[in-house]
Amino acid sequence: MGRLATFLLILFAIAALLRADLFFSILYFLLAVFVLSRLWVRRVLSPLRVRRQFEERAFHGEEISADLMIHNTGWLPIPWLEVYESLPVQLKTPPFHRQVVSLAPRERRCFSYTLKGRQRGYYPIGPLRIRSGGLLGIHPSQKMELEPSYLIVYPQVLALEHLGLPTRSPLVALPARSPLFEDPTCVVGMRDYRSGDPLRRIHWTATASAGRLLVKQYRPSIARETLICLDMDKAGYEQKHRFTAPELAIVVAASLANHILVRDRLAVGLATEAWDPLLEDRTRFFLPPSPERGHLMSLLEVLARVDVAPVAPIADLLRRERVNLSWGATLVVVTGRETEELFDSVVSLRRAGFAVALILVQPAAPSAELKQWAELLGVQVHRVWRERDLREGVGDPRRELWR
Amino acid sequence: MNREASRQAGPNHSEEADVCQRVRVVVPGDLALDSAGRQSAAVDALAAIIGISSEAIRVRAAPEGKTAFKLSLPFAAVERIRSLLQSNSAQLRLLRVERVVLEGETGAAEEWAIKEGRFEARAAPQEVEPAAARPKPQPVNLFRPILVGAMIGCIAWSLVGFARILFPAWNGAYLVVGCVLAAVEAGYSFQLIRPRRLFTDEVVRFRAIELALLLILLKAGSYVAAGWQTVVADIRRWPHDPLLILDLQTAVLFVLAFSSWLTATVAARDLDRVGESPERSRYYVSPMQSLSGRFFWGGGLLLVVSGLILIGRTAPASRDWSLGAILRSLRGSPSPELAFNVLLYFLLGLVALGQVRSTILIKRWREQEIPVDEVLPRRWVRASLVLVGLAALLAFLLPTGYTVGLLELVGTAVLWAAAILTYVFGLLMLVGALICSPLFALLAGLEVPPAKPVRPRLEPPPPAPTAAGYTPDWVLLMRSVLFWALIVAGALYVVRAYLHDHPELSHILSQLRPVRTLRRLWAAMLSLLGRWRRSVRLRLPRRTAKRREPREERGRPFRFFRLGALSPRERIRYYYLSILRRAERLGYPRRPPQTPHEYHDAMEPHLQQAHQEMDSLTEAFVEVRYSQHSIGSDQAREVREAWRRVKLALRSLRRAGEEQGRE
Repeated sequence: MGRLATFLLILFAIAALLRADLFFSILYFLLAVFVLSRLWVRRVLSPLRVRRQFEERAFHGEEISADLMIHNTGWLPIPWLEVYESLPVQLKTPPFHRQVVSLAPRERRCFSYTLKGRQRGYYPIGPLRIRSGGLLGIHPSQKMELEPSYLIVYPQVLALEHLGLPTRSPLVALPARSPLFEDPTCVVGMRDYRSGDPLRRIHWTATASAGRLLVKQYRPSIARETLICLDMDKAGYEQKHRFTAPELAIVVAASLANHILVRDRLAVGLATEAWDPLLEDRTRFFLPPSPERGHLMSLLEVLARVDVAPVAPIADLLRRERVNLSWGATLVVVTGRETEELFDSVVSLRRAGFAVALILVQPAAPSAELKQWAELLGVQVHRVWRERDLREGVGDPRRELWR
Repeated sequence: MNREASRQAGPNHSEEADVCQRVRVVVPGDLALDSAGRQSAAVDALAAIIGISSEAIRVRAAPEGKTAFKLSLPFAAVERIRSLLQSNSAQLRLLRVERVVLEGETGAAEEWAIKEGRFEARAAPQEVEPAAARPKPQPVNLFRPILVGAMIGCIAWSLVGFARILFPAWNGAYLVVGCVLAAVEAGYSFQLIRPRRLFTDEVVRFRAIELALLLILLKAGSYVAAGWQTVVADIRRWPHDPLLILDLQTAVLFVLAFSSWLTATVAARDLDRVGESPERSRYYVSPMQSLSGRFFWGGGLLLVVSGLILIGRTAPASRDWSLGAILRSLRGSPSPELAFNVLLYFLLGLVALGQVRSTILIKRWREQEIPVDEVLPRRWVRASLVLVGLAALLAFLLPTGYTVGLLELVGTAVLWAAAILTYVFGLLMLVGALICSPLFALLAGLEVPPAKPVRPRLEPPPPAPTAAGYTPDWVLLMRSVLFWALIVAGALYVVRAYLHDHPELSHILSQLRPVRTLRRLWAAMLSLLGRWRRSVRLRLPRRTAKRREPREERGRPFRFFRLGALSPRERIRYYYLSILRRAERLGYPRRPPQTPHEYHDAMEPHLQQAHQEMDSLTEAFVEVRYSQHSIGSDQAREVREAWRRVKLALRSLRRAGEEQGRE
C-alpha cells in the first residue's frame, strides 16, 4: 500500500512536470487500480447478510446443529471471506468454527456445525467475526461482527433412585393423601394470572370488570405444593467443592422438580438467589408452585443458567419465601453446608406448619447433632454426593444414604 | 566420510558452500518477545557452542510459544552436536535446549529430547508428507516463470529501444528474446534444483552450464543479422584472437541477460519463500515486501528508460537540448507502443502480486487448518484479471491530451481573480467619484468642465475565417481544467486514503504548525459555511411556509394606513397593540390568559424607566376596550406621549440585550 501510494505520488509529480501521454496513461492505470481496489474493499462487506440458526434450548447431552447462512446480496463478488465463529468450550472442541469462502455475486452459502450440550448453562454462540479484503493487499482488510446468540442447555435430570432420594412424592409424609389440594367450592380471593395457571381457574367476570386476567384463589384444604429452595450462596458450599457441589445441587433440584411434576403430577416451585448471566447480576428467583408442564421448562431454564455468587444465606431465603406458600406446603432445601441459622429457619418452618426436607450436597455424613435434631423435629435429611452419578447418569446401588 | 557415504547416512546437502544438513534446535519461550540484545545473545551462545557463525542461524517461531533455531550445518558441526547430545552437554542444558532435530535426506529425522535432565535420542516422526498427500505440481508453478520472464522482457524491450536511439542500425530483438529466455530458464532451473539436494560444486557446475549456454545463445543471436560468410570468418579468427569471442558488445549484452537471469532466480526464491513463517530477525524482509519492492523498482527503471526514449525521439528534431525545449517537445507526444509496454509490465506485475497474496493467505489458512473453498484460487485469478483489466481500460479511455499545464492553470486562475478584484475596485471608485464629483465642484467653486468631444470608436477588424475543426480557447481551457481536476483529485484521494490507513502518520502530521494553521482555516471556513447553511435553512422554510399558507390565514394584506385618520378609540387601541407586538419580539409575549393588568405587572420589572407610562397606556386601553363612552382626541394625544416613552424603554431594553449577547 505504502509503496504504491508513494509510487503514484512520484509518478504524479513526473507526469505534471513532463506532461507526456505515456506517464499520464500509467498514472491513470495505477490510480484506477488503487481507487477500484479500495472501493471494492470498502464495499465488500456492506451487502453481506449473515444469519445464524439453531434451536435455542437443548437438553443435557443433546446434539444441536447450528447453521450459518452467508448471502452476498451485492453485484460485486467477494474474492475471499474469512469466517470465525467463537463457541463455548463446553459445547465444542476446539471452541470455534472457521471457514474461508469465496462468494460470487448473489451467491448464498450455508455451513453447519454441531454443538453438544455437555454441561448445563447459558452460552453465547458467537460472536461471528468476518474478515475480507482486497486481491492485491494494498488496502487493509475489512472486518464485520455478528452479535452472539444464546443457547440454554438444561441441567441433567436424573431418576430419583439414582440420587438416593425417595421415589414417592412429596418427600415428607402428609396427614392427608387426598388428591385435592384446594377446595374449588370455596373461593377465598382472587389474584393476577400467572403463567401456568389452568384456564378453568380464571375468573372471567372479574377479569372482564378489571380489564386484566384474574384467577380464583380457593381455600387450601391440604397443601401439597412443593417449593425447592436451592442454595446458590458461595458460602453455602465448601471451598474445595465449590464447582462440583453446586452443580450437583442443581441436578438434584432439576431431578426433584421433574419427578414431582411429571411422575407425581403435583405442583412444584423454585426459590433461589443466584448469579444470572442473562442480567449479569445477582437475582432472586421465585417461581410459585404449579403443576403445568410448561412451568417445568421455566424452572429448568432458571436452573440452567444460575450460578453461585456471594448472595444472602439460604436461611434468609427460607424466611423470605415462606410467606408465599400455603399452609402445609413442603419445602425441599438443597444446600451444601449445615449451619446454625439453617437449623433455626427449619425449626421456624416446622412450627409454622410446613413440611421440610433437607438435602445436603456434601461428601461427609451429617453431624450427630443434626441427626438428633432432625429426628426430634421430624425433618427428613438426605445426603447426596455422587460425582460419578453426574457423569454417568446412573445411580450406585451401594450408595450411602443417611436418613 | 566420503560423499556417497555421507548421503547414505542421511545428511542433507544444500547448495551453499560446505553446508550439508539441516538442524532444528528448540528452546522454550518466544524470543521475539525478548529484547534484541537477549535474542542475539542466545543466538551467539548457540553459535559458540556448536562452533559456527551466528549468521548461519535463523530464528523462527515454533508452536506452543517456543522458539526454533534453524541451522544448515556441515557434517563436522552436526557430529559435534551429536556428541554434545550424547554427552548430555551442560552447555546445551544451560541454554535450556528442549529438543534437537537432525533432519535426514529421506525425510526421516533423528530427534533428541530432554527427559529427566538428560538428552535421549528417538526416531522423530516423519515430517515429510506421504506421497499420496504430496501436492502435485501446480499450474501456477509453471505459469510464474513465464510471468516473470514477460515482465523482464518488457524492461529489456525498453532498454533495446533506448539503445536503438543511440545505435539506430542495431537490431536488438534477440537481446529481448535472450533476456526473456534467461528469466524463464532461471525460474524453471530453480524449481529443478530446489528439491534435489545438490552439493555446492554440483550447483556451481549446473549454473556454469546455464550461463555458458546463455552466452552462446547471445553470441549466436548477435550473428542473426550478419551473413553466413561473416560468421565463418569470425569463427576462423577466434583461435588467433580469443577476445573476439567476448567482445564489448557481447559482454554488455551478457551482463544484461545475466542480470535478467539473476533477477528471475531471486524472484523465484522469493516466490518459493512465500507463505513461510517469518524469521525472528530485525533484518528479515518478507518475500512479499521483497517482490513488491523489486516490482516497483523495475517499474521505475522502465519509466525512466521510456522517458529517455521519448526524449531521444522528440528532442533531436528541434536540435535544442535545453531543458525547456525537451519539456516542450515531450508535451503531448504520442507513444502508444511505449505506453503499452509499460502498461503490460504493470499489469503483469499486479496480477503476479495478486497471486502471491493469494498464495500467502491460502498457506496461512492451511497452516491454521481452516477449510478453504476449492473455488477460491480460480475466482481470485478471475477477479484479479477483471480488476486490472478494468483499470487498463480506464487508462486507455481517459484523455491524456491537454493544452494547459497545471501551473499555468493555477496562474490563469490567479490572474482571473486579480482581474475581477481590480474590476470591482474600479467600479466602486467610479461610483464614489460620480457621487462626490458635484460636491467637489461646489466646494471648489468651479464649473464642471464641458464634456470632451467623443472620438469616433474604432470598430475591431472582422474575425478571420476559421478552419474546420477549430476549437475555441475556452473549450480547450475547460478541457484542461477537467483533466487536471481529475488527476489532482486522484492524487488527493491517494494521499487521503494513505493517511486514513496510517493514523499514526496522520497524527504526526496534525502536530505540525503549518498543518494546524491550515486545519484551523479549514475549520473556520466550514463553520462559516455551516452558519450560512443554517441561516438559509431557517429562512427558506419560513418563507416557503408563508408562501404555502392560505391567503386568509396570513391576515389582511399590508396596506398603507394613516394614524391620524383613525378615531381616538382606535388610535389608543393601536398604541397598546403596537407595544404588545414590540414586546413580543423582545421575548415578552402576552399569554392568552393574561389580562392587561396582569401583563402590566409582568412587564413592570423590565420597564422601570417607563412603568408609569405603561400603566397609563394599560388603563387607557382597558377604558377604550370595555367602555362605551366617547373618547376625546386629547386623551389620545396623552396616550400617544406614553406610547412613545414606552417604545423608547423597549428599544433600550433591546439594545441592552444585544450588548449582553455580544459579551
